[in-house]
Amino acid sequence: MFKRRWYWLAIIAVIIPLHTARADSDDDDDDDEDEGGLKTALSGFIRADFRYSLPRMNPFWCPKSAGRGCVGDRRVTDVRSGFDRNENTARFRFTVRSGEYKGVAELDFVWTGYMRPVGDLEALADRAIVDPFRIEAHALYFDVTDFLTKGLDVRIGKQIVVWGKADMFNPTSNINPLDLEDSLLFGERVSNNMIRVDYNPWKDLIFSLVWVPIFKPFQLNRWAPIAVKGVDRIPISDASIRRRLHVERDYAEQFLGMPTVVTRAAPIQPEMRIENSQVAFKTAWKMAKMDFSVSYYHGRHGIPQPYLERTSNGGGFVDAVASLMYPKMHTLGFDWSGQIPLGKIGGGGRGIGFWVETAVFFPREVRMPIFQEGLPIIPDGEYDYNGPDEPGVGLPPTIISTRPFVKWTVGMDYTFNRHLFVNMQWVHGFIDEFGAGSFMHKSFIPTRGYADLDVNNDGIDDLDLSGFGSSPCMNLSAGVGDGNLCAKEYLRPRLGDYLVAGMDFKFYKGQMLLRLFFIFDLTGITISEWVGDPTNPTDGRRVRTHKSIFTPDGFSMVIFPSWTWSVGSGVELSAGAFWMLGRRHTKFGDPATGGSVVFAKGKFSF
Amino acid sequence: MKQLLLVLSVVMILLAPGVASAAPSPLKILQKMERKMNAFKDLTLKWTLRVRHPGKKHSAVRFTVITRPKGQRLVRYTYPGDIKGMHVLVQSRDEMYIYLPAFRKVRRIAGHIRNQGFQGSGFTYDDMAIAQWAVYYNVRLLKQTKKHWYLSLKVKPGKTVAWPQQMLRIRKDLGLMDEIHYINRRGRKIKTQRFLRYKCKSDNSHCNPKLIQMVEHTRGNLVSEMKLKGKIRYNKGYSDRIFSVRYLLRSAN
Repeated sequence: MFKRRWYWLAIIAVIIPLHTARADSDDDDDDDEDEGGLKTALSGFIRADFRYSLPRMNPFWCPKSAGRGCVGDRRVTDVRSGFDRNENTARFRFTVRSGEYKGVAELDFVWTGYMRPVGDLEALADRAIVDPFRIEAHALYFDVTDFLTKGLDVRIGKQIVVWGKADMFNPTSNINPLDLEDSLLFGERVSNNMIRVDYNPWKDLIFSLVWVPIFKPFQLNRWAPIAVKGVDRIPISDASIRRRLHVERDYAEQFLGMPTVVTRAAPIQPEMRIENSQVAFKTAWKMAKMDFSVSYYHGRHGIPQPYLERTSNGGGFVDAVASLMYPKMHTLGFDWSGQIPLGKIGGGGRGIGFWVETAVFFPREVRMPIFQEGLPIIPDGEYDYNGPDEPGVGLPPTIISTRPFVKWTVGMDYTFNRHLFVNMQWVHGFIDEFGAGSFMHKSFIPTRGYADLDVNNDGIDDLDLSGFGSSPCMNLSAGVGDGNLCAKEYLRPRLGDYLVAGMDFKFYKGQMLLRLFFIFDLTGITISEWVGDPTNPTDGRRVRTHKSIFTPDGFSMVIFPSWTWSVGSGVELSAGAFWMLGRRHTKFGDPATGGSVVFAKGKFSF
Repeated sequence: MKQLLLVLSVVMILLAPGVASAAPSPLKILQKMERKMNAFKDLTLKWTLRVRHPGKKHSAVRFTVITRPKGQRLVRYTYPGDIKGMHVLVQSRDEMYIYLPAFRKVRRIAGHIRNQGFQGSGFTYDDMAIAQWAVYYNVRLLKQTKKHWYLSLKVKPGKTVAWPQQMLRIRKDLGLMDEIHYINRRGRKIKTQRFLRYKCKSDNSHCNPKLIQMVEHTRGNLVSEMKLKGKIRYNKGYSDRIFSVRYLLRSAN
């Protein structure tokens, strides 16, 4: 493995000097596509990237009053302060043209800058451990233009196909998985092997067909497993089952001393068969000086969803093993972009740019059977979903229903003057959100859930979880909890709404750029709990309270200020912060996002 | 009879200078200039752009422009590395697209960006795209000298342009402008563009400046310069197809 990597480096080392001899002439001939001969071009960059993780930049996690503790009596132990990244990247994009043919290789060589865990002294003799690096291929393909007939282009190989008119948030672009490994490079995609055919028969009418033989999932960041291991956050649609699970889980932890731990969450890759390949089609055209396209995609969602859970006695804890799968889906997309003329306002000839991109998703149903073995109280076998009063176990809970849902991005941009540019978007359905449920169709998933025994929120427990005495929270003989009475949940719709806005301020002869970018979660949080009379706690009702975005419980946002200095000749220096705000149960306060970081970068492009 | 001849002689002498200096109509001067400026099927030029900030090293931007007479343009940036690979396609005044290599997609750019300086210079996409004036402006001859005609242009009612007024100085020997004053709605001169060192085809059917300067009066007379690099290439056979979004994707990606 080690030798093979260096073999690649050797190839690149040979390519670069070969090209250098030709590079000067390439610039002179770069408009000669119609002429024959072999032409080469090289571009790329060398980048140094330093980041420091500062989880305590999020005051909603750790308010001063909480001392070392954090909201919800939890400690921030899963995201620590320290260097988050210490990378050096060299990117080479090498292009060879010969008439109607073109080959492209775009490779990143990334030195991660920190050692892999060392088990013994011998490991220190292994350079792959001491100074590890990886290779990312963004493109390895060849093109044939005007193949068979004029206007028909074919591209074969590892490539990235991005569809949609919106910036970064493209619900119609589902062919390549998103690369979420680096939150600062939001919107990047992972290349995949595919065949792409484009036919341009007339003016700006373009038909595109893409076939991807083997599905590739999203590249997740290293914090993502935290989300899977939050057992109170399994996106079960059926509220009654979900609430029961909260109570039973907390009972096991508090009275049996058996916390539930997800020891394994295994994504199951679809079988490499023709029926699991992806296909997409798009027609784009222009009308009334505006751009339109309609598209269709058949494939899978790139973030795995749980479809099977097995729990067993791990000896002092409930050992939960989850199997994850990528739900199948059909997607119909539409996008539209143009400009709104402003007439004589603003000097004349200007217009506000706008875009609308929307996609209707038709998901295949995903249900999650739960099996248990060797647990106290709860009998072995399949979980009794419909409770002890109903015969049989009932149907497993729904994770993804077949109900179609819509995601969209609507945006606009405007340049006020040479200094100020503004871009705003309304995003309905974040990139990781999937399934029916929004402000139009209320269907919630939990972001936090637990047994709550305080029925009037006065800080004093009114119910008894132990199952003994008068409390009906747990039916010990059946091993069933009463989630309706004793569970409290923080809920949000499956699809949230977000205001994404950015402002560029250029100064110092256009070389300095101050960018303030933010994502504001407009969704808020809904708290579902039992509210009753403390003297007779079972006398009450279940209440849902919506916490708006202006409350500490509902507030969540990302602030991304950055400063970039284009020194000249392709050199750029930048620094900034990626600041995640909100409580742990909110979209951006979630530790699975990786928390806040500050960064400094230097880049030389050639 | 002698008296009549004398009167006629005097009249002819008086009229003679007037006849010698009678200019063609300003509209015809403008239209003739437009015809000469666009006397090609396609034109490929390579430019080096520099902004001359006082006391500072001038960093260069290099790009190639392919132009068609209707105003279609394809701009390909080749230097420096941070913008290398960026392509701008101008299909018409209201239809512009940009390919940004970092995002790997073609994005439409709306009119708000058209009259903003690119790469920190005083040149705008509008300045580069406009090769037609008569359609948008009413024209009037301000004055003339031995070498120049001075035309005043005011936007026609109902037409929307970046500059409501312009003043063009046209060289009589070439029939092409060598200076434009861009004047805002309040009558204030904002920028001056100079076209220098014209190089003409052997048959004089088309000439192109080898140096274009833009002086921004609102930025302390900051000078931006576009210097022609390499040959002027005529009629390489680029069809309408290369000024399409498809071509932009094909060429850039």
